[in-house]
Amino acid sequence: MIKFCRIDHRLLHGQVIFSWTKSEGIERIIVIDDTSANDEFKKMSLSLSKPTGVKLNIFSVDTAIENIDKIKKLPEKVMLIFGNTSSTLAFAKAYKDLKEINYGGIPAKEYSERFSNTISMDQQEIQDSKDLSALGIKLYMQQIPTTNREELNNKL
Amino acid sequence: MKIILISHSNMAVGMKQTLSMIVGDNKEVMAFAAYINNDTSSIEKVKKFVSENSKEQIIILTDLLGGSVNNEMMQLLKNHSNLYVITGMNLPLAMQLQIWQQSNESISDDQLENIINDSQKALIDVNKLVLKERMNTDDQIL
Repeated sequence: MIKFCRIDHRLLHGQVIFSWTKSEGIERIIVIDDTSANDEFKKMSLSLSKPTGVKLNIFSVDTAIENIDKIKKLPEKVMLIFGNTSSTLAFAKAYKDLKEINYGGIPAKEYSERFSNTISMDQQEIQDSKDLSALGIKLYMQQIPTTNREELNNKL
Repeated sequence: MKIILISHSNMAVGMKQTLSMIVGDNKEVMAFAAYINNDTSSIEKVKKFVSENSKEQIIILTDLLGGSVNNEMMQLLKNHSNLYVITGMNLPLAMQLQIWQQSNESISDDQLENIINDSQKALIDVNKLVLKERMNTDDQIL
């Protein structure tokens, strides 16, 4: 059961591990990010930072899509973390019924537009987000469970 | 349950800022910087606070055993039975206490000991950890 879904270029870090994992009662984290999935050292360092007692998978987008049926049948409360909008969109199209996506961190780039302290998107990322929105998914910006939740769909 | 962070200079204040970033702002966690320009007012403020809230469980985290901040805070133990002073504060300790505080009225001696033990394990030589660690293959099975 997918309980929480986040886009965060930092993937697993303090806010995710100590705040979201606890507030959502997460039992398994699935990182979906091509760069990490193809880098053994990155995978190892992610596995070192996972919270104790929580299972972790690190998948490329393709592997994640191949495993959608298994992911749907998981009994645990699952958190999906994507490194960027394009992998989120590819997965969301294949998965079909993602309800909400938390925008946690997208770094500023040249020509990117700033949506919050931690979310800046270039034209491609804005387009990805519009496509996610068109799939009927609620997009919102929120750093940690105790800070403000700000809807994103109407700002794109 | 209240948590007070206090240190020589700004460590405790920085600790609170870091806590806010990771686990959120919490009004029950207070931070004090002591002895900047020899100013002792922070020490006096904490003493006053403890005296005025003696019925409440208060946990004080200080920076260093033998340092004057801890020496001063220790004196408060004489007259306050619901007061706990823990020295050698680190982020895992402060974070776990704040998280505990957010969903509990108070903390038992056993639970406090667990959190302290846990936080002591947080000092880790990452180079050695990397040498030892292999990706846990069990985890990769969905």
